[in-house]
Amino acid sequence: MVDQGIEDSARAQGWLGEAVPVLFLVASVLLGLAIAASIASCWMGASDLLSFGLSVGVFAATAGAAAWASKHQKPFVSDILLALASLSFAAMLGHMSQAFDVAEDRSGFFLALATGVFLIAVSGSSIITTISWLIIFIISIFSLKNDNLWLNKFTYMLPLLIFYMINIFNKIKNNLKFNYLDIKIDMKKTILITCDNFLCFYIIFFVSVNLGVIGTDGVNPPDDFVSYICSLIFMSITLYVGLARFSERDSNEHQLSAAIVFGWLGSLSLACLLLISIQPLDLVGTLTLGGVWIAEASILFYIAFKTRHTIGLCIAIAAFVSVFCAGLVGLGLAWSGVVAGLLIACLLLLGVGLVILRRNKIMSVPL
Amino acid sequence: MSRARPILFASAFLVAAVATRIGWEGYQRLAGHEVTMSVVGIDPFELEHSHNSPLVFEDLFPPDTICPTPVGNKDRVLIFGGHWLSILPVRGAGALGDADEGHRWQGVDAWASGMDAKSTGRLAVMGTASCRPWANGIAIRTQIGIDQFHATEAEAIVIRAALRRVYGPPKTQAVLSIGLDGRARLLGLIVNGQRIDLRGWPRR
Repeated sequence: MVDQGIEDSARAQGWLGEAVPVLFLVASVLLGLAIAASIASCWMGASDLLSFGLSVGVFAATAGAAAWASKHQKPFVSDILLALASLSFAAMLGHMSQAFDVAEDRSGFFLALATGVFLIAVSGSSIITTISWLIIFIISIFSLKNDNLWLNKFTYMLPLLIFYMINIFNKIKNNLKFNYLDIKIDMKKTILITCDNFLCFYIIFFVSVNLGVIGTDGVNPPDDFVSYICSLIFMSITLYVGLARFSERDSNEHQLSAAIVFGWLGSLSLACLLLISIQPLDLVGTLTLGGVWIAEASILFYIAFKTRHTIGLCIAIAAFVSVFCAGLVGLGLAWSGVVAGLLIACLLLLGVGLVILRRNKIMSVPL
Repeated sequence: MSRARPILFASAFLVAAVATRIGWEGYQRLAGHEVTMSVVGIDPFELEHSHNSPLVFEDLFPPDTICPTPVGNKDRVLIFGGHWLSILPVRGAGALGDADEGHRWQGVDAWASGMDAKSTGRLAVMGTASCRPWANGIAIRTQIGIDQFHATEAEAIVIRAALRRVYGPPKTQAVLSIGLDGRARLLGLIVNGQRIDLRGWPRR
């Protein structure tokens, strides 16, 4: 009886241990944002070449460390460092566009960023960076201007997309699984859930645009036929993905249904983020949206905890972190305050992760 | 399997690509043709907070002018379908009666390719133009890939002071460099007659 209790407890702790990579990953993202913010804070004081050299140095250091980790057979560390390198690259590109006034068009910036992150993801075979690339790629499509150049710009990314999809399908076909700290993350499910999130996000964006909430030119809803057709295609794919997931026979059915809930709620979080960033809200609006956001993230966290769903937990933590970051920016703090806030959150997550790891080790000691 | 070598190659390639782009932009900025165009929408509040401000290339013309091609939907018409504009200096007072503004450039024709636009012998720039009726005439809006600009703290202070200097609507123009590749690059602003060079590298 006692042994059974210890075993259950150990299993529960083991599940919690699965959250450790997620915590470390989010901590690395926060660290990356802190790096970007600290470079931004130096821009006003330092000369252009010095601050640009600093951002190149940070990128080179993180990429070099990722290469070192990969060489020494540390895939998880390498993956996290690559995510950090992607953020450093974003900071470098952002700095370049402002200090050297290069990317005057926002969509051009995101396309360049998407291409760079894609290269990093492919070079390191990194699933985390791949998901980042998907996020940036979708953002770059959203940021395209509502004119005939839309298709031109899309076709620019199309060869990369096809190449990448062939790679993904090949991996799914071979049922390739990624192994992080002895935790098996199913590639297929991760990709499906990620795609589902963004497709839902696209639909929410599409509906918002058609309701006149957001106009791509900031004033009018778009009257571009292509965007309607693409939305219909995306909707069909979403339905297909949802149905395919429902019909999937898994030993743990509630996890699958939970995944759908995560998909939709996660998408709503992202849509809130978009609305906050596009439309400047008053204090009441910001607080209301922030409250909804926190409530949503809490529900996500609760479901993920109950169903022991690592990916759900990842989305919940990301939702908490994003509302935290939005709050930091929304409060109008100085750059140094933002950097301090990000670093504190990063250290907090690292601390929680280390505590869980330590407890896991204690619990797994045979009595 | 170690992925160290591909990671290092990709990183080196990205750094080289970024450095090349900076060099190329600097060259185009220096070699380009300098023009001024009318702009509206500089937001002092945004400049103060985020150091970014929207920039809309719009020129107002007096009542006796009409939009070049009265086709299209709603109240806006695209001048022509192409993505290249040939631009010419426009002389004379704008609709706001700013006679001293006199010398500014405006898109006059749209073309499908840069070759076509340049064949007219005029200056060619990548972009589109649309025309809409305005209370006191017409407004021609040009989209040339610049919809906002970033200013440093010092530049933002100078721009805000220049905006406040004159009572009423500010007279603002953008100083652009039209590169050999046909892209417009922002060099600075002329706010109520005062020229303010924005940070860019290399400086002219």
